Amino acid sequence: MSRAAETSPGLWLRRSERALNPNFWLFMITAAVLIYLVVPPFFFILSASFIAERGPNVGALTLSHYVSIVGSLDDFGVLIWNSFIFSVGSAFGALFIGTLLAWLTERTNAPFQNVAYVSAFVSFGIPGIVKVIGWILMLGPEAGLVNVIAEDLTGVSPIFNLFSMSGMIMVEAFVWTPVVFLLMATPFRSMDPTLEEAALTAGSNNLQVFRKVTFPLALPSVLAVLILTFVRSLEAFEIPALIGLPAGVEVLTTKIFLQIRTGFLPRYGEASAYSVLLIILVGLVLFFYHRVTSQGYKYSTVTGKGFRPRRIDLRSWRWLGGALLLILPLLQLLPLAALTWSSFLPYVQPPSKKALAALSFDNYSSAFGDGAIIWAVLNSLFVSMTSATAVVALTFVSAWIVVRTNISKRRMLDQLATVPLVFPGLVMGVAILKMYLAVPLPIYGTLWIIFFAFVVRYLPYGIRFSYAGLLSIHRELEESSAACGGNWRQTVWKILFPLMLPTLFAGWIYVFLITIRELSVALLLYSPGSQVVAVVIWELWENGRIGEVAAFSLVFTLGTVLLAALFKRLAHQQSLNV
Amino acid sequence: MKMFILAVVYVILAASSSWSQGKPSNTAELAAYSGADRQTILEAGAKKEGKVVWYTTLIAYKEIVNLFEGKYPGVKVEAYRSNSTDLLKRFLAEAQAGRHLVDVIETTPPSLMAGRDAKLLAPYFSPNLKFYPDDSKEEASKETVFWTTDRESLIGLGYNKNNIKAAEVPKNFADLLKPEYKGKIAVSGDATGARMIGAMMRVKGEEFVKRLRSLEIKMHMVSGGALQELLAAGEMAMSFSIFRNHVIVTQSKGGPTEWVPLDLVVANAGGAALPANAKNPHASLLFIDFLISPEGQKLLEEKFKYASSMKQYPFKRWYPEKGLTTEQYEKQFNNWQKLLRQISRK
Repeated sequence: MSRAAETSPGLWLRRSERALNPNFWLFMITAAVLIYLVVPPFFFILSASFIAERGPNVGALTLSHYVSIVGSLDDFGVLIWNSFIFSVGSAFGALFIGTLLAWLTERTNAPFQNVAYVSAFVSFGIPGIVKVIGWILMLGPEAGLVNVIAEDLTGVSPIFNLFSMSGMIMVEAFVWTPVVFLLMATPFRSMDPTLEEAALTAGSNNLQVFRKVTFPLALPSVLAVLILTFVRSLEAFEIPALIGLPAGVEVLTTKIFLQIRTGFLPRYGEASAYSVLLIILVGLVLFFYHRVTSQGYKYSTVTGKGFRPRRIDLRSWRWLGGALLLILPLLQLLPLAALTWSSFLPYVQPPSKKALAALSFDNYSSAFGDGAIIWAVLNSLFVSMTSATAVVALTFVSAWIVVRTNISKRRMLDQLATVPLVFPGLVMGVAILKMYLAVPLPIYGTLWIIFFAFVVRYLPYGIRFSYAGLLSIHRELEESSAACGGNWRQTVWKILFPLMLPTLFAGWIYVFLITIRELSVALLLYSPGSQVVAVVIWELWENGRIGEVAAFSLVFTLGTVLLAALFKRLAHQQSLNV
Repeated sequence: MKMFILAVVYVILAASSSWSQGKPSNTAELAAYSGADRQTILEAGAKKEGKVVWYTTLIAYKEIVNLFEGKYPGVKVEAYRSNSTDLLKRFLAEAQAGRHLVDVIETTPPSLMAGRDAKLLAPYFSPNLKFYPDDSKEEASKETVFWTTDRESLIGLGYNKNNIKAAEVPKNFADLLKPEYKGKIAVSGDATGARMIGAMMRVKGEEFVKRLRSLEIKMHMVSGGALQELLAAGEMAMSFSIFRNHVIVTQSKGGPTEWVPLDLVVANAGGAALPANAKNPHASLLFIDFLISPEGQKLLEEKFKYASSMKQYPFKRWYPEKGLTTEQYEKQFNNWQKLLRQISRK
């Protein structure tokens, strides 16, 4: 503590001041809340990974789950190679597209910027499995819309086979592009233009400025996002399974998860062992990440100097930029187009005269025919709004403590908030269930159990959004507030919070939109009387009616996006509009 | 004094008379009770209990609830519907924590087997049991069962009429090996596909199953219902893991799918069971009676196109888990799953 602490006024200079220091107490409270949220499920997972679930030795300590995970990986070389290609391909794909979109939207005068935002929000609202079905309907080698039309025009069939490694990478990259886009918009939006102007004055062209100034400034955010997408695609199961397996392509996760999930009873032990291995791996990745971002001040992009980030005039390239901004949302919306088409049809079919004659609103009326849906919608709105607010508030405070204070154990907050990233839904649901059956709080059987599950599950995303925002705001703004006599609360409430609002809002909306249709946890934890919308979507899906699922998802997503737009407007009125 | 003696005598008489008729005094006895006044006792008890909590995997749950509540006003049904995995997780976790919230369970036999083996199910009697063949009941004693199959989804070969002519469709397992089907067959990667592999092993043996590998079968990790929709869209020509009820619904909307039985039709059953610690046992039994009554079966069959165990069909049905312990079934199932993965791999 010592030297570093002495240089930042307002922090605990002497031991005796510790008790009075609000930062210290804030840290303690935040740590306690995070520990309460994260540690019991983690403990459950850890113990489940070492305890025999069934058989003659039930309840005894065992290593068999780990042995079985490792043993399932024959052809290890092929699996590693496939996993590597898939994760790197989709992480970089998402990063490249998302960053380009964010830059075009925030830093150039390309048209259609709002379209990019809206499409990012819309894409969160559609359940992943439904979107993959949309892709199959669009690009399936036999009956995919694009391939059918292309065959009529060119005679080649299929022009793109979705069931391939490139298909897997493409879809996974598109799934993560909107997240990258939102996370990257922040550093671009709030970048100090003087640095870029200096480079321009020194004779650099626009490309050089981007390469040597803009991009390095955004680097910590880029790295954070890269880690998030890399870890996610490393543990992604849905797309490798839905698109890879029909193609005969196996990756580590499909191999492991097929073993865990397709048993006739779920194998928690193996699922837990697997997630423990992942936690170790992610821990290593985070360790290196912290080494890169620990010197956050280097990358501060919002400073006390008044400015608006310069928008580059693309001139004649302007329409190319606009076209890119339009093409990418269109690619996001392509599966939705296939879904929209099938939402008007009695059963899924390629376009034809017969299909046109069969178009109707039947799926819409039957999907919304049940009066109980209103309660599910209200329940969902309530639980998603409260959990999004809780996630953002908690991670904002955690990120602030990590970035701004010198409390020696502060990094723990980040680690705690990141660990749930690798809790598999299969195990986490049970962990939360058991926790609240045991804890003497009257939460079991109410909506609140879903709230707690959502908060834990989306902490890792919230913390990345909060970081992205905080890293880019220079400490001098808070310091000058303090210098002007502003107390701690005034500084946070009047300076920091309004500056961060756009980023916090992006995080909030992400958690809101993704929890409102989150299934893996909700389906286990809801109770009679506390049904949520995701359960309705699942029921329609289980009934095998893609048309009805599509109709319901589309209308519901449109509703939530409109609501989000309203919130966005309100948030902007409050913010300083940096 | 006289009054007191009279009262004592009355109490003794009342107690002994109820004992001699075997009036049920706890859940286990009530569940096994088959006396003539069973219905009266159940209705009176259910009215007092006022509700029944039902955990189910049944699609048609809302309609069943409406019909039941209409028939027995004063008994409310609180339904939790989920997939069989989540339902089992919840049931086991609640039982472990001593929170006995559920009164009736309706789910697939593997989950019910797990409940039975954990001693969490009470054997019950129902006057409707007589309608059901032995294969569709899990008997606990001569009179009572752990569960009764209240609905069946039948797995056979589905095909798209636009992609393949009816005359060229496989008629049995052996036909599947014809070289002209190469690249045209898809299968579901979940339990549906694995159980069909089990049926093939039973009829044709393991060597036959392994020869299917030459057909370049595509394994799709989607549910049976979604696979049927992809079949209707023409993404594949046929699949031997298609549910009969899904095809019937698509056909009723003019869709191009057809369903044919092969040598053996796999029955994915759902059974109704009574948790041993049910808090509202009278209402539970009344509700189970209703599910397996001709009236309940008619709704499931006509509106939701399930097959009923009470009925005969022109093909042979097979219940893969019948008569097995959890361990035995799991071992077989894992083997089918492994074979399925082998034949669908490049």
